[in-house]
Amino acid sequence: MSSVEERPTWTGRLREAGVKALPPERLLPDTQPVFVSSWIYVFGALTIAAFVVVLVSGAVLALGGVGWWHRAATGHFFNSLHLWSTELFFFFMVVHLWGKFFMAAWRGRRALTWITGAVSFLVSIATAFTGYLSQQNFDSQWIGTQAKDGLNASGVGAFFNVLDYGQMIVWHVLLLPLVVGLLIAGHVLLVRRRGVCPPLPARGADSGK
Amino acid sequence: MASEEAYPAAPDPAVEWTGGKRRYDLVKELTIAIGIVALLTVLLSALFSSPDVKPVTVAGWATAAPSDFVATALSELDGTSGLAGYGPPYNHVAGAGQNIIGGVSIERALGVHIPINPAKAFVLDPLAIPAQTNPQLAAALRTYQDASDKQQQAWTTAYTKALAHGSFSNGHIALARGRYGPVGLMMQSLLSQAQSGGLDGALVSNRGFYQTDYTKPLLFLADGSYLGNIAQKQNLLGSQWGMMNETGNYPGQAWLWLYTFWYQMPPFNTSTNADAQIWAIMAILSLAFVCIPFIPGIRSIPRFIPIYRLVWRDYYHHADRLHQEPGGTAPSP
Amino acid sequence: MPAAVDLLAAVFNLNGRPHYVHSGWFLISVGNLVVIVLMVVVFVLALLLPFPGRRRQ
Repeated sequence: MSSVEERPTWTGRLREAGVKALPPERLLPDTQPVFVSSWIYVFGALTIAAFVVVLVSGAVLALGGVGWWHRAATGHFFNSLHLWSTELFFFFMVVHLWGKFFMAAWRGRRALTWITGAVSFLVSIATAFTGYLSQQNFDSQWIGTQAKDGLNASGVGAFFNVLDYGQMIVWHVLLLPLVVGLLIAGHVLLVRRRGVCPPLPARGADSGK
Repeated sequence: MASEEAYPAAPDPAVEWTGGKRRYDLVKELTIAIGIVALLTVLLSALFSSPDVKPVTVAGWATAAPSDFVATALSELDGTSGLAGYGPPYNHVAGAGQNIIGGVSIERALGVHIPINPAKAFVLDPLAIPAQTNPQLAAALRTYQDASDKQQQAWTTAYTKALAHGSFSNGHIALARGRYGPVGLMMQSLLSQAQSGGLDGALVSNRGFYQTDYTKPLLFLADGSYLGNIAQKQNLLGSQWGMMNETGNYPGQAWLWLYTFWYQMPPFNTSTNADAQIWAIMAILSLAFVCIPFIPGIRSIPRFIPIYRLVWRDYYHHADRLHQEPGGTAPSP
Repeated sequence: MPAAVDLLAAVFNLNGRPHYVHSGWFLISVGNLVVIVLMVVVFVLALLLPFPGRRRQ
């Protein structure tokens, strides 16, 4: 027997770790705990749904090119879809955030779930910001010339130039959505791994956690 | 049949849920959610559309507000403009750059990364283009650049004073007679270049054919009043909670409420270091937001404002009944 | 479709004169106010409305 067969491969190690953390029944369960019986629980899914619509409408805008929506009514309609799905994205995300805060959903080793969610919120703001800057209209001019002062004051402006359209458009279309997507994926996988956070103790009872 | 085991009174959140479960379709829920959100988005888009206010051009600015344009160009030339005194990342100006606290300035520490010489960028270099075919303008530029700083200052100061009482007609600047040296011809030529649209192109084109960087024309526009006047009518100024707002009646960025809030409050609303200070405050608050699970007091708020009792009322109702019943079971409803 | 869409959008033209609620130092656009009020209403409704699907296995 050769020593190569005994040593686990990187692929094997990754597979084992993945299956251990998220066996199929945990990754894609078709049951949920009985305490999940409130409409507040649908807002995570609604946020992801809005994100999907944002991505798809953004992809169609990309198909037409950056100037398309200024020239063509159909392009303008897809710009509207992109704007309103973004408003819905933040709307649902904030309601989801309020719900999770008041449920203290970070309990039971779920701090990282809260952290990934909170960071997603902040990075989403940055993503929307670069979107506003990429419009190539009065909005972009005003937002850019105003935002530059805050960013310059913090030092960020030396490397992240909001008046440089060439930089803002690629951050908006590629870099930031990728980061948001990865954060959301990590956030959801963490929820799957730990399970939905159970209720705070009923009156009189105390789990101490 | 429900049982005590299905509804533990004080479940430990750190261990896997062993209580009751019900059938649930994750993929179906997400699919329905996407459908609902897509329909809602189409409805909102069809009803309200989206804003697309045309951008301001330097040509538009010079035509609609020639006095403001010339005054701004003059301030870039004589180094009194906002950009000329800005400091990093655009230029080296002693002491310029906002402080977070005391003399601590990240802006100054990082230095100049987007170098711009306002006089060259906005006046002298653009004028060099028509000067190639206008010997008088070429001579005026040479005279100006060969003159001492003191002489240049004398010309621009005199012109600035006269401009306040000047008039504009068909792109022609009419001022009282005075000692303006070459500045008179330079400003008239720049105004003509701007109104014809030539300055827009001259400011964007750097050293190549393809252009994507609008730093120079935007900084030039921002130094004037024209852009800000349009913004003020739309309640977009910093002092008008502008960061949250959108043109017209469209909803804007409501999530920026806390960021823009500080700009309305003393001492920030009159501080020259407001941007740096507010960025520092928001950085700290953002970090605190991310770290809520670790902050004593804040992380206990959910227990003191018991909204959770509404979320889990069904669960508590069953748990209460089951844990009171002898034998810990209750008949199914 | 684009022409029909333009017609619909003209019914609720949000590009007109901006409307704001102004009280002392507090200034908010009607658009933003509507969004924020809706968020609170939706949050409260989500907490209060009965949730279907209490069937258990």
